[in-house]
Amino acid sequence: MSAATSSLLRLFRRCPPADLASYRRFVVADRHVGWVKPHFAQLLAEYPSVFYLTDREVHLHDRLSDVEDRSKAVAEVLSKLHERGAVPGWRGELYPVNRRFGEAPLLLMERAATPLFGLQTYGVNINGLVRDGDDCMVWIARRAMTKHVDPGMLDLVVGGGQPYGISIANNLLKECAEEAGIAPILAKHAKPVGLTTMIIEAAEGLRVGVQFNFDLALPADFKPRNDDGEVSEFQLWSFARLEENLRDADDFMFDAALAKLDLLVRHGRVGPEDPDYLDLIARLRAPAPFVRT
Amino acid sequence: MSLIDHIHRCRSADMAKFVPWSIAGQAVGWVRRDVAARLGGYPTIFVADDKSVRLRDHLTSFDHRSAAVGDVARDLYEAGFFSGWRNEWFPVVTHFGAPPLMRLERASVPMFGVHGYGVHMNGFVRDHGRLKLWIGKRADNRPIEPGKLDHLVAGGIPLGLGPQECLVKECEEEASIPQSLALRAKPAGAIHYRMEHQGWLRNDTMFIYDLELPADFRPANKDGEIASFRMMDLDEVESILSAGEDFKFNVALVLIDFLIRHGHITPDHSDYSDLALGMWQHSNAG
Repeated sequence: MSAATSSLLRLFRRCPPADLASYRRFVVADRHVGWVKPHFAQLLAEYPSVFYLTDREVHLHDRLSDVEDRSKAVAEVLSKLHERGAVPGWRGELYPVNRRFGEAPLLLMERAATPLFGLQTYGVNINGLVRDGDDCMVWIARRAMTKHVDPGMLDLVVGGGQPYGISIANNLLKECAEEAGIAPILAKHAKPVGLTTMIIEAAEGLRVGVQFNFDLALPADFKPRNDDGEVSEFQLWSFARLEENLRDADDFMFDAALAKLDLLVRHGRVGPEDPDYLDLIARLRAPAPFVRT
Repeated sequence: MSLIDHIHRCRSADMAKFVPWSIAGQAVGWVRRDVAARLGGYPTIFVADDKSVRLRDHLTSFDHRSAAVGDVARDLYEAGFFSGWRNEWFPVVTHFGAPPLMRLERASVPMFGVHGYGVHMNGFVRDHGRLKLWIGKRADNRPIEPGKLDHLVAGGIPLGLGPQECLVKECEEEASIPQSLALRAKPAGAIHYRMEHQGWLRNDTMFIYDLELPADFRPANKDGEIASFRMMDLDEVESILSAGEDFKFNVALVLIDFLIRHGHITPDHSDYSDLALGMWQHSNAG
């Protein structure tokens, strides 16, 4: 590695640290589970039977005491806000609201609203790998130019959000089949390899993500296939090309780039001789930005 | 005991017990309050109060700082503050890779609470697609964690060596792994924790390596630090980790990380996210 090589920290410079001082904490049953932007907090305050504001917090009303009551009351408010155009991109998928994967949810909430509340969400990512002697190659997807978000950017071969009510393992099989034509008989060999996290400010609010990463060894003659038109092409890259791209360009979507950086670290392509090694590892495992109560 | 308890055990430092110390305005470590008071007894070398300790600004070079603080360390060693003088030098740095500001006797590193860096290597073999790990048993005369289970190869990174050079050296001394084989070890991440151990602060970062060994490889210890070796399958490693503290404290973390990276511990483990994210202790989180 020459001294002139660009730093892999480039990725994190793309998204500067969130300034949480400008948000209000979202609190449910005395637990801090999210961060709400002031303008959205004002909208929520218009529904005082469900939400109330204190100095620096947005609370879900304490009379809503169980997951059913909370989910129903919040869904009614969100549906009205959606009609007013304040909750764009409605998905019709429910996400659990909690602070730790697997913890019983305090409520379930429409996916599109999760960044508005700054909730922690979960997702799965599969690195599709092909052995090449002692080295590895990795499959990369390019998003279709017709995609609303980040058209034409490089993406994971398989990646998706983790809705409530489906196991990680089953979600992985479903996403593999839908996004890249990877049959369950292949996909079931995907090996869990750990987590990466992200905290980024997006236009709609704060995105707090925990990504479950998997490595899947694919046969040399396997070609991923996308049927829903969301991917314009798949390419098989060497780790060297992947590293070079992450150093020199912003071609990958942010969460995909995190997963690929983690891949290069775990496989030893990026090692302690990189001056930013420890910084990179710490940033891939940023703790959830919630006050423990 | 459950796996997560090993992480809690290595994150035991109550930083309120320590005061920061600095060289030329740069934070380099944390010392216990009684040590801070003691350092204040060397007013030509340290300025100490109840909030911080600073090395005197007239000590501007690596050599001057190392000699002056080395004399203090020797005094405190003779006064019984710490034991096990080793005549090995560790660098004092603000962050890994930065030029060392001075050097310290290895045995005094925990007393000065400076960031210590080490290498840990998982030596494994593939047996019909299943992984097995070579595990060492520490000699009974080791000052730290005698008799505990350990990695095939691990060691602190002394002054003047990089992680890979240190690994190659330890491979030879601890397990008779030749350089040609040791150079095939792959870096696989790093683990950081702050622990109170034997009353001192261990502010540690471990560089993790994985080395796949030939099936017929047999380790042999040369430096007397490891009493014996044996091979374990991953179920056995996990069950020993779940049963108690048979493994050296930080080796437990490296092994849990290995079990996660190699898919042996899966997301349906109830503590999966805390285990996977627990390998790096952030300064603003428990």
